[in-house]
Amino acid sequence: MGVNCIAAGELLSPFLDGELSREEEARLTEHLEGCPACRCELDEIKRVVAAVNYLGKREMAAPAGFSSAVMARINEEKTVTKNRLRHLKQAAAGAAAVLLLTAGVTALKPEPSGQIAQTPAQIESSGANQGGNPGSDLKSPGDGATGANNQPNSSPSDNSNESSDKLVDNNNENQRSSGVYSGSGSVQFTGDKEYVIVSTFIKIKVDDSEAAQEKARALVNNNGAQMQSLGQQTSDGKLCLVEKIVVSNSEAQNLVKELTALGSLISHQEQKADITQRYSELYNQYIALKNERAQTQDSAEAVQLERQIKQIEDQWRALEQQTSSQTIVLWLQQQ
Amino acid sequence: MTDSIDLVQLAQKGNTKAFEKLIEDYQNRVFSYCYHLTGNYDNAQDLAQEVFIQAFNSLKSFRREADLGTWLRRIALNKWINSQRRNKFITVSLDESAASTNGEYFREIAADDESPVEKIEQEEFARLVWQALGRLGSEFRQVLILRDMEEYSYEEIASLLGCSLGTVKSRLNRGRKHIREEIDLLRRESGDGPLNKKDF
Repeated sequence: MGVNCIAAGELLSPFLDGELSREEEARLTEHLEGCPACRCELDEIKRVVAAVNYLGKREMAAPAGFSSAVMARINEEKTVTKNRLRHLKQAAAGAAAVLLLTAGVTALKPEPSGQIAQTPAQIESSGANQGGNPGSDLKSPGDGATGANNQPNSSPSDNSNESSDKLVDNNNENQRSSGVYSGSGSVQFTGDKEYVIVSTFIKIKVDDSEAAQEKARALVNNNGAQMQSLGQQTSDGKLCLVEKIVVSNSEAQNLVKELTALGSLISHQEQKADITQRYSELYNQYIALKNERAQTQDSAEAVQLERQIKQIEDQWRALEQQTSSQTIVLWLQQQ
Repeated sequence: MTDSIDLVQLAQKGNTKAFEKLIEDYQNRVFSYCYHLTGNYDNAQDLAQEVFIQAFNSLKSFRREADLGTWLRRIALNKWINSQRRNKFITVSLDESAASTNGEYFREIAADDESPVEKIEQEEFARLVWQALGRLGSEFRQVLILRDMEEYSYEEIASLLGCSLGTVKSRLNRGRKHIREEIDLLRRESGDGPLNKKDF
């Protein structure tokens, strides 16, 4: 069966491209033989296609200075990339430090607030036992002072003392009587000491990484520290066991020395983050909030302020933990 | 003279001078191609720059036995298609006076063995086709360029544009009708008649 002009018109374009089936092509050819109009249309399509094709083959000159413009952009992008990489490295280093510190904090199991709030002196006296004395207060880290002479200027009122008992879920009587809301100067900052968080990275080559892991665990236990396996990593094509160890400042140096002796040392890096400023800021916030809390008569505002005070206490404790202990990341690389 | 393979090898090792030389060697081809795709001088310049920048960044993945020109065209084509998807480089203002930016452009179309009159007629016709192409919707212009200018098969076009074979067929059919209508319109606007058989 032949095709009419309308149907033929639909077939002309694919016919030109050789995209018709044999049957379609035969029907169209038959139509074209008897239809000058469709033949003319086909010719017109051919001419346009030829013109478009020819246009595509023409070459024109690139604008003057084109290559210089491209190279300028490439150099510009290289500079930007370098800067980004530098920032990325800095950010990565920062993130690694934060990770180490965060990991160090989370590795310590959550404990009642009275136990967490040990002074380094108390940690030392308890052999870095994280249990510690349940009667300890929040104190300026590292100084071991009672703080009797360093109380915040704004002693909390009786009201605040009462509210603290509600906010701080602590059944310990000593904590109640000498806690942050008691006016005994539990959050203190003298400003005459630097507070530093130390993290150490040790990578050693060992004959048997699993045996070395066991030895490391024994050393960690002997030093009253805690060890957590972070799994396996591949470094330079070698399998490494990665351990995270949290140890008190007093025992850290000794433990690092013992761990390093487990194999031949590949790398030893120590990173220090000075957080004295952070302590100072927290202390100022604390004092300001305590003052506000002492003066407010609005119960809703009081609750809000007490919540904020509690948050600062929590942050203070976290900082204390971080400054009273060190995190060691130990890589045991199989020979 | 250092050939392209040596220059590529040097550029792959980070020699920017070698890459700059490669740009100089290929810039006209790439720019022309980009001009055909975008139909606009400024957009062609932007696209061509992006082609070379991507080439520089991806040079390590380039296999030396491949043809650099083909590789650059492929980058340009992909960038053009992607940019069209993002509505960038849309040819809303195709250079109607291509000759003004490059006077030789249309004059070279006519074959050498044709008479001066025929050359003038063909030059005029090429100008009309170019203008008509610029008046088409981007979906039609795209398939006409890919098929009639770049000679891709229907299957390749479908793959490049991520559409069905039927869509390619339909767009080509309609695109070729539309461009003829636009050419007739342009001729009427300029006081000439419809398509002339002598034109190509």
